[in-house]
Amino acid sequence: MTEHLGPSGGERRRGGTRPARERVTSVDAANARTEPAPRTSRWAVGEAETLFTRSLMLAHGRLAIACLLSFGAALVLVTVVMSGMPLLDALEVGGVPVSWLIHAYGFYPLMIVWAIGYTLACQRLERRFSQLVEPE
Amino acid sequence: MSAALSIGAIVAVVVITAIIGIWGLRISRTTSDFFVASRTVRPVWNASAISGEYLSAGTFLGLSGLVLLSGSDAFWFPIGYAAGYLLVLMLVAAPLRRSGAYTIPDFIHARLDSLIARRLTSALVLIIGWLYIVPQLHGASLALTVVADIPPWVGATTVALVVGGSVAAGGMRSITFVQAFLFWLKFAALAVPAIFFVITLSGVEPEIDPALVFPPDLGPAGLDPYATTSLLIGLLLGTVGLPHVLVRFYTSPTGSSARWTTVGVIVLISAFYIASSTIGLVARIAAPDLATPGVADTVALQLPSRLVPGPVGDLLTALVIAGALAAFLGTSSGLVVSLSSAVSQDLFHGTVSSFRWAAVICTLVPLAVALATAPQGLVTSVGTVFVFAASSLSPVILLGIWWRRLTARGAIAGMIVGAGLCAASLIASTVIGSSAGVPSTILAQPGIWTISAATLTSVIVSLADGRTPVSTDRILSRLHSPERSRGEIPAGG
Repeated sequence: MTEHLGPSGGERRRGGTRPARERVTSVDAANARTEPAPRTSRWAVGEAETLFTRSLMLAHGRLAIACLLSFGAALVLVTVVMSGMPLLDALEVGGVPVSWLIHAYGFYPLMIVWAIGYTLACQRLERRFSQLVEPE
Repeated sequence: MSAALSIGAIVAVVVITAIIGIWGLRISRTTSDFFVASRTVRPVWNASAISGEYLSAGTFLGLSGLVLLSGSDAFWFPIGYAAGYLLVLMLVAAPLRRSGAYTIPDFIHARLDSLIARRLTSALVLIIGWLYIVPQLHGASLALTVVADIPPWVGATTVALVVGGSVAAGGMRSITFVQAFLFWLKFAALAVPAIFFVITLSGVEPEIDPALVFPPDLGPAGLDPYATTSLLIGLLLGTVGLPHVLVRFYTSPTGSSARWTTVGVIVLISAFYIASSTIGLVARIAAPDLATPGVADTVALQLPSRLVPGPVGDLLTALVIAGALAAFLGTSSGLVVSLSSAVSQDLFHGTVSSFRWAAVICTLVPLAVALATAPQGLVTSVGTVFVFAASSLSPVILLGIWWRRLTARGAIAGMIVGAGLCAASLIASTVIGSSAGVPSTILAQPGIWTISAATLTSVIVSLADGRTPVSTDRILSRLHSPERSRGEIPAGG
C-alpha cells in the first residue's frame, strides 16, 4: 500500500525547485498483483480494512444489542412493578395514583440514561478502532 | 375576546414561520442547501429541528384526548415514540449519516444496486408520508373549528398553503430554522399551561374521587400484554422507517454528531411528552364530560378557559392554539421536505426547480384526502402510520445496515409482504371492529407479526437468492467506519 503525502507525488514541483516529498510506507500491492484488478471505486476497500470494518461492525452490533436488551429488561421490570402492585394504585400523590404517575413519567429518565451511556460507549469504541487503523 | 386572541396567535405563528422561511431562503443557494442544509447543522439546532418536526398533532392534542378516553394505555404512545429514537440512535443514526445518501430511496439504491427496490421504496415513502400528513391537516381543522368556529376546510387549507409555500421557497436549510423555532413554541405551549393547571389544581380542595377519575382497570393494572407489546414494537421500529426522521440525519456534519443529535432529541421529546402527559392527567380530573370520541382531542384547547378563567385563560388558550398550529406546520413541513426530495430525485432530475414542484404536489394530495375524509382519533391515526412504516420499510433499512447478505430481491419481497400484510390487517380490523375479541386485537395491533413476517421474508428470499451486490463490502465499510479512518472530510458527504 502506498501513501502519497503530496498532491501528486514527485511530478509536481513545489516552489519550482524541488519535487514534493513522497513517503512510501509499504510495497505497492496494486502494482505487484498478477491477477486482474477487482472492480474499484471511490470507496474501494482493502482486505485489511474490510476485516477491521467487520470487527468494528460486530462490536457496534454487540454494543447495540446489549444496550437494547438491557433497556428492554428495564422497561419490562418497570411495567411489571407498576401494573402488578395494587399498592401503587392505592398510593396517591396530588390525587393521582402512583402507578399512573410512573406510567406517565417513569420511562423517560431511563431512555435518557441509556442514550447517553450508549453514545459514550460508542465513542470509546470508535476511538479504539481509529487508533488501531491510524496509529499515531 | 378569546377567538380574536386565538386568531391573532395563528396569524403570528404563520407570519413568524414565513419570515424565518424567507430568511432561510436568502442563505439557501445550492442544491445541497435545499436537500440536506449542506450538512452543516449543529447538534443542538438539529435536535430542536428534529423534535420540531417529530412532535405532531398526534401527541400535542391527541395524547391528552386519548388519556381522557381510554386511560393510561395512551401513555404507551409517547413512550414508544421516544424509545423509537433510542433504536434510531443505536442502530441507524450514524450509519445512515455516513451513507452520504440524500433520501431513503437513495440509500436503498446505493446499498442494493437495484432500481426496482429504489422505486418500491419511493412509493412506500410517499404512502407513509401522505398518510402521516392527513391527521395533521385533520388536527388543524379540528383546532380552528373549536377555538374560532372557523369552517373545517379553512384550517386544513391554511396549513397546507403555509407548508407547501415555505418548503418550496426555502428547502431544507430554511426548514431547519423553522422547525427549531416550532419545537420551542410547541414545548412552551404545553409546559406553561401545564404549570398553570397544576398550580390551580393544587390550590383547591380536591372534590374528586381518585377511584373514579383514575380507575385501576383503566390504569397500568389493566394492561393487555399482547396489544401493548405489539404496539410498542410497531412504534419503536416505526420511527426507524419514517422518511422525515431519517432525512434529518443527513444534515449532521458527522456520524458522531448524528448520535449526539439523537441524544438531544430524546431529551427534548421526553420533556415535551412529560408536559403533554401532565395535560392528559389534568384532563381526567377537570374535563371528564369531554370524554367522547371526536371531542376528546380538543381537551387541551378547552382546559385553559375551564381552569384559569379570565384574560390569563384567554392568553393560555391562544398559546395552546399557537402550539397546536406549530405541531401541524412542523410535522407537515418536515414530511413535505423529505417527500419532495424523494419525488424530485426519482421522477425528475433532483434539481431545485423539481424540488419546488414536488413540494406543491406532495402537499396537495394529502390536502385532498383530508378534505374528503372525517378526522379519527389523532394519536391512533399517527400510531397506525408508525406500524405501517415499521412493517414495510424498517426491516429492510435495518437489514441493509447490519446484514451483508441482504439482496435486492429479498428487500423487495420483504417490503411487499410487510406492507401488504399490515394494510390488509388494518383494513380487516376496521371492517370487523372491536367486537370479535382476540382476533380483533391481533388485527388492530398487527406490528409484532407483520414486522416478523417482513423480516423473515427478506432473510429467506435473500438466502435463497444469494446474489449479494458486489459493492456490499464497500458500502458497509463506509456505513460503519468513523469518518477520520476513511480519510473523508466530515462535511463533504
